[in-house]
Amino acid sequence: MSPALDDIAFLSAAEAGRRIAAGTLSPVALVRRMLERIAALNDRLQCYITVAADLALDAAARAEAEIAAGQHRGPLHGVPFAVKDNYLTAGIRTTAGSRLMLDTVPDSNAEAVLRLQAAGAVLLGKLNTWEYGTGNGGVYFDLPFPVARNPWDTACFTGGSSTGAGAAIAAGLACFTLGSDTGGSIRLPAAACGVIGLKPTYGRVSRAGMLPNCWSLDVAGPLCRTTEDAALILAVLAGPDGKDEATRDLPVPDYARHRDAGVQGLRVGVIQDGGPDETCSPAQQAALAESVAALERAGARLQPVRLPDAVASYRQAASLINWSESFSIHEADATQRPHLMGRALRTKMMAGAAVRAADYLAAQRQRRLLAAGVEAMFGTVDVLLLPGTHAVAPPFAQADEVMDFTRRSWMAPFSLSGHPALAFPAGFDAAGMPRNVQLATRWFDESTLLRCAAALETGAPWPARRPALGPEPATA
Amino acid sequence: MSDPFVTEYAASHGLGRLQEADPAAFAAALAQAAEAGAAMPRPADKESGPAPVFRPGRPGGGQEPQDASLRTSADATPMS
Repeated sequence: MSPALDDIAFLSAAEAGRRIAAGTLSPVALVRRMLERIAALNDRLQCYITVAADLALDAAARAEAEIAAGQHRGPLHGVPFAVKDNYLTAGIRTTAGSRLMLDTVPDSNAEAVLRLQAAGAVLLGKLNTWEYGTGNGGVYFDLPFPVARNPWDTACFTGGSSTGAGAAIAAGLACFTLGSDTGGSIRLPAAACGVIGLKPTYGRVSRAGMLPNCWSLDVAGPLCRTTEDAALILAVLAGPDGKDEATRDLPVPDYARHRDAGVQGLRVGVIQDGGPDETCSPAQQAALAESVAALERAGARLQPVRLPDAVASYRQAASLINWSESFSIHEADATQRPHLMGRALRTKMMAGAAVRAADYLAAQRQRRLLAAGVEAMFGTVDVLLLPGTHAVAPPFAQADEVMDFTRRSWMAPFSLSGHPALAFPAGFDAAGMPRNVQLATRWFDESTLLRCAAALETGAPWPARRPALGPEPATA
Repeated sequence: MSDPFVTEYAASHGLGRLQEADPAAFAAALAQAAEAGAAMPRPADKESGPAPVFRPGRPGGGQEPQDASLRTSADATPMS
C-alpha cells in the first residue's frame, strides 16, 4: 500500500517552504509528521542512527514563532532535514557509524549544518552511513547499527556510503538530507533509492566539520526530491569558508532562476561506452535512451561522446588516492584498534597501508591529466549525460552484485576531476527498482547541471510513484 | 597459514594488529595495492606533478588539529 499522495511527509522542501511561508502549514505539524513516520518505519528501514526529536520540535516552534512575527528567513525556513552521521552536530551524538566514535557528542556544528540552520531549516537527526563514510564496497552487517534498507524493496541495497540519506528521502522521513561524496557516496544512494543526489564542484561547499574520508576527494552535498530543492539547498550551502581552504570565493548564482531557463540549444554529450567490460544492464541502457529522447524533445542538441580514458582508469587513480589518504586519517585506529572497525573499513585500511608514496603521487599526477581530459570535453558540449550505475540496486543476498554496484559505477571520473555531477532518477525497472542517469558539467557550473536535470524532471515529476511500505504501525 | 614475507612486512611497518585481524584479507590487500600502483602511469617529464600547495598563514596550512578524533575534511591541504 502506497502512502497517500497528499501526505505532507512527501512534500518537496520547496513546496513545504512555500506552505510554511504562506501560513498554510505549521513547521511544528510537519516535524511531528516526520517524527511519526520515523517512529513507525525506522525499525524496518534503519535510516536514522539518532533522532533529535526534542531539539527538532523546539527549532520548529521557534521557526513558527519567527515567521508569525514577520521574520521569515527564506525558502527553507521551518523545513525539516537530516544529515549523514559524519557531520558534526552540537549536542547531538556523532558516531560516523563506527564503534570508534559511539560516545562522541561534539560541541560544534559542521559549517553546512550551521548554514542550513541559519536559513531556518530544522534538523531532525543523524542518518545511517558506512563507517566513516567509506569502505571497500561490501556490506557485512558488522557495524554497530543495523544496515539501512532500500524503501523500494527492503531486501535490497541502498547504495553507499550515505545510506540513510538516500533511503530517508525515498521513504518520506525528511524533506532533504545531506550526504558526503568521495567516490560516489551521494550519487550512489540517490541512484539506488530513486532520488536526486548532487555532488557540487570540489571547493563549492565547505566541508568544515564533516569527518574526513579522503581530503582531496571529499565533497559535501544534498540529496532531495526535486531540482528546485537542490537549487535552494545549494544556494544556502555554497560559498567560501575560511575553515575549509579548498573552498573558492566565487559568486553563488541564483540556481533556482537558472534552473528554469530550459535546454533549447544546450549541447549534451552522451556517453554510452565507458570502455572495456563496462556494459550496463538493459534497464540502465533503457533509462539512458529515454533520457536522451526526453532532452531531445526539450530542444537540447545531443551527440555521442567518449571520455578520453576508460572509466576504469579514473577508478584506479581514485582508489590509490582514496586508500592512501583514508589510511593517513585512520592510521592510529587501524594499527591500534582494528578490531573495532568493520570489515569494509578495515580492508580498505589494509590497502591504504600498502600503497607506496611514489604510487600515491603518480596517481595524483595522473589525476591532473584525467581531470584536464574531462574539462576539455566541455569545449564541445555543455553537459555530459551518462549512466550513474551499471545496474539497479541489487538484493543484499547477492554480495558480489552489492560490491559491483559501487565498484562498477560510473561515478569516478567526476570524483577524480572535481566536476559537479548529479544522479537523477530515471523511472523504474520491471521489478519496481529505481533506474538512474548521471549528469556532469563544467567546474562551478551547477546552474547548467540543474537546468538540464530540470528538463528531465519536467517529463517525470516527483513523486509520480512512492515506495509501498505498508500501513504505518501505531506508535505510542 | 600466513605468508612469512607478509607477516614480516606487517611487523616491520607497525601493522601487526591489522594483519592479525584478517591475514588473508591483509595479504590480498597488499597484492591489490601493489598491482594498482604498478599500473599507474608515470609522466615522462620530471616537472609536472601534483604540486601539493603549502600556504603559510592559511587555515589548515599544514597544521595538525589538536583533537585527532575530530579531524575534518577541511583540515588538510587539497592535493589537486
